[in-house]
Amino acid sequence: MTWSERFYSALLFLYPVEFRVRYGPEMVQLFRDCCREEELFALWLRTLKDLALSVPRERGRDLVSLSSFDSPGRGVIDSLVVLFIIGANLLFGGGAVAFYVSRGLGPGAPSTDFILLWGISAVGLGGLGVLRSLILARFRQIQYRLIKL
Amino acid sequence: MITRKQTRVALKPPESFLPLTPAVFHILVALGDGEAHGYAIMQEVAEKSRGAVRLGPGTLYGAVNRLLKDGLIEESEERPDPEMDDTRRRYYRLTDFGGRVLAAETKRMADLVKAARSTTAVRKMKPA
Repeated sequence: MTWSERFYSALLFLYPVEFRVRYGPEMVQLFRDCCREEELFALWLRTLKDLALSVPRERGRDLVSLSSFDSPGRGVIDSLVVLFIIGANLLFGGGAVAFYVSRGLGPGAPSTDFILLWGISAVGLGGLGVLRSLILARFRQIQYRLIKL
Repeated sequence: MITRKQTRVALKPPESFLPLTPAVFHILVALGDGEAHGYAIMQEVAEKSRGAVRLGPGTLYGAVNRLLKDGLIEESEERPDPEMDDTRRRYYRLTDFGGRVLAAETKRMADLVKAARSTTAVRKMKPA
């Protein structure tokens, strides 16, 4: 592999991951074919112009497709996780408010139990956030494997 | 088996894809005579446009990606003779629907050229 091909392979990291995984090897192969038949300086000028135009275009498409119906599975998982987090939040929050009100009616300030409950709910919600990220990351990995096939 | 995506594409009339971008039109024309890999498409486009259009890898595969998603082209599962070519290359070919879109775009452009030729300005000009 020449330095030109190495440098071009490195520049492919500017493209979205999904696009790079699917078309990266073919793009490098195409660039290699061009290297054999074209003058290197002219080829690099053309390639840099191509990168300047195609990278923002593919990045834009990637951003749009994240919120589109291209991958319904991703949307379903996202929605379910968000619903779960909202449900858990209402449950913990509701319980905490009820606890506060019941204690608030009595003598004294909120007890340590109340603070403990809020702590548990915060850790729980944080854990759910991490879980959500892990599920999405795993789901995307499966997608890439399917794309590679 | 017909997939959900194919059904969705089949429901769209070819005219809904018009006008095609120059890159997409040139790629469909290059695949009009049979399947080809990326480099062959690029060479065919340069040759048919007399060197006026030179597709870069990003533009070419960006267009290929969209054409695959829209069902206008498909990846060919047949691989050429390993002795004749690199088996790692992916080959693409026009689908029936892609052929209909190409025909519709060609007709649209032909009508446009006909209309342009009938104007006084164009009739007065002599071809270079």
